[in-house]
Amino acid sequence: MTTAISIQQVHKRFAAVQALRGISMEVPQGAFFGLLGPNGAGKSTLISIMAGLARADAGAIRVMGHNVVSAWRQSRHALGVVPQELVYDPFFSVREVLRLQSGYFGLGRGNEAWIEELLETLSLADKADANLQALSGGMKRRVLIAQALVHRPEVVVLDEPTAGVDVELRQALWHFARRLHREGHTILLTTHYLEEAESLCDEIAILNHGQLVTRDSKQNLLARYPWRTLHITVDRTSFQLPEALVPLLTSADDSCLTFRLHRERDTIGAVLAALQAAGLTVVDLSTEEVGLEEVFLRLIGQSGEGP
Amino acid sequence: MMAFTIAGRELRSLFLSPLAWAILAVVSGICAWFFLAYLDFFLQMQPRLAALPGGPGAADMVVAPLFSTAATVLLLVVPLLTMRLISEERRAQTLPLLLSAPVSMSEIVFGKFLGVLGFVLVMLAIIAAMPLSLLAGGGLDLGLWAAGVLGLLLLLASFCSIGLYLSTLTAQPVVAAVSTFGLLLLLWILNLASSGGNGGGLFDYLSLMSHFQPLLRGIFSSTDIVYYLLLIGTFLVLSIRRLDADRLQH
Repeated sequence: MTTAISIQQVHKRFAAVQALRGISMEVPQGAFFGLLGPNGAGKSTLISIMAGLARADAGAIRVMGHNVVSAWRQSRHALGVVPQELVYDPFFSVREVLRLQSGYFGLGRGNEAWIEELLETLSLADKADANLQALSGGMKRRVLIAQALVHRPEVVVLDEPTAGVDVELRQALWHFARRLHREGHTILLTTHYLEEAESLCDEIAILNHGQLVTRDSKQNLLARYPWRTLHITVDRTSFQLPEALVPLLTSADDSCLTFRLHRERDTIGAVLAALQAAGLTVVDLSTEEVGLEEVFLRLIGQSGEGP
Repeated sequence: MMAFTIAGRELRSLFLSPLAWAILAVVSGICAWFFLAYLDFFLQMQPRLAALPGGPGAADMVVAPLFSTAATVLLLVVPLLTMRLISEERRAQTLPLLLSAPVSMSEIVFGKFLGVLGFVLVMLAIIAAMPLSLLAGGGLDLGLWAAGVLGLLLLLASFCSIGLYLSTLTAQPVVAAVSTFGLLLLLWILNLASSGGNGGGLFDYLSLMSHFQPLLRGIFSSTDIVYYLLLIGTFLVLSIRRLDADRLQH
């Protein structure tokens, strides 16, 4: 698999703050890649350098093999960034904004069909001639996505695209992001919603304090935390817990028991059998699988600071 | 060339802004009023001037004062047009959309400059057309008129480049407008210091007015043209450098 984004030993300092400390990683072509980290981790700085909005003090970033400094025109042609903020030019309509953005990429009338397709796909067709000022926040977000895609970039950066959007739009954006990915775009997603990254991304990198904490596939990351939680309610409030289950018990509240089970060593069946052998009847049962959030908090905690 | 795309966008956004239309109306109104006042004065003086051998004509009595007045009016107005070029984009955070496109800093700056200059050229065309109406009723020294138009064009282009640079320095359009007006006024009246003695020659050379007045009198000097081109070029380069420095800082 070829590399869509290559980041090599990138350093960046702002006055007294070292924003990036030798970040190195690669994003494979066609990946849905999550870039996670607490505030101030360096995610936005990295994206700014990628998009040419900032310059690294040292190191190099390549987008589709094009160095963002020495081959900046090619690298920017290959990259589309959806910014986090709802920024817009108040003078123009949606269609005009897309035509102007298309013009910046040297695309003329030949790109009209794609602009119309974008308007349709992002449900902007009936607002195409409306001034941006008159649009809702959700619609403005869609326009920003259309702007980022107007030149058909191979790599799309979604910088916290669902921050502050309602559930319906979030679902629509997820659906659209998945579609882009299916169509062969490489997606780089930064988000504070870990369930979003867990749902969408197949590879994840976590930054903290300007350093790469980890970079792995989602499955491998989740496997690093091999625990799951088992909640059981039994038919009595007073009982003697089998000795074999005591090390697994994390909390007990009257008839409600919570166990932490190792994914490979401990089985639910063994717990239920032990309870049955002790004469207890299970009234209710639920399990809680470990999520990316637990892995994230653990890794960030290990690297020095919580989110 | 991308610069023309940016210039087109800038020009269009200016024409979509009510401020620009208001400016166009006010400048046209004021200049038309002055034109009629100078014409009226000339017509009153004409019988006496006609008796003088080689006396001043309509071009001297109407065109030069009109262009001089227009320059003063535009000194007040151009900062209002240039103030939003970059600072408004900074304030609205739309600058990254432009900076992340495959467009060089030179193209961005040159495009912005051409865009605002295009609007200013519309004003210049209206002002320059006023004296041409005299051709319907008599003669006009077109050489003097052309020199005046050239002088006004170079002066306005200088205003635009200075305004553009000061717009790159701040995210507040009002601050950009006030500082542009201050710097333009300083450069305008700098030659007043030349009467003081020491350093007068330098101030006189640096003054915008010193290089504008000869063109209004029909004197075409390459020194004046080079002065304006250098001034325009310097502030455009400074604007490019300023935006480039942003990349290093951010």
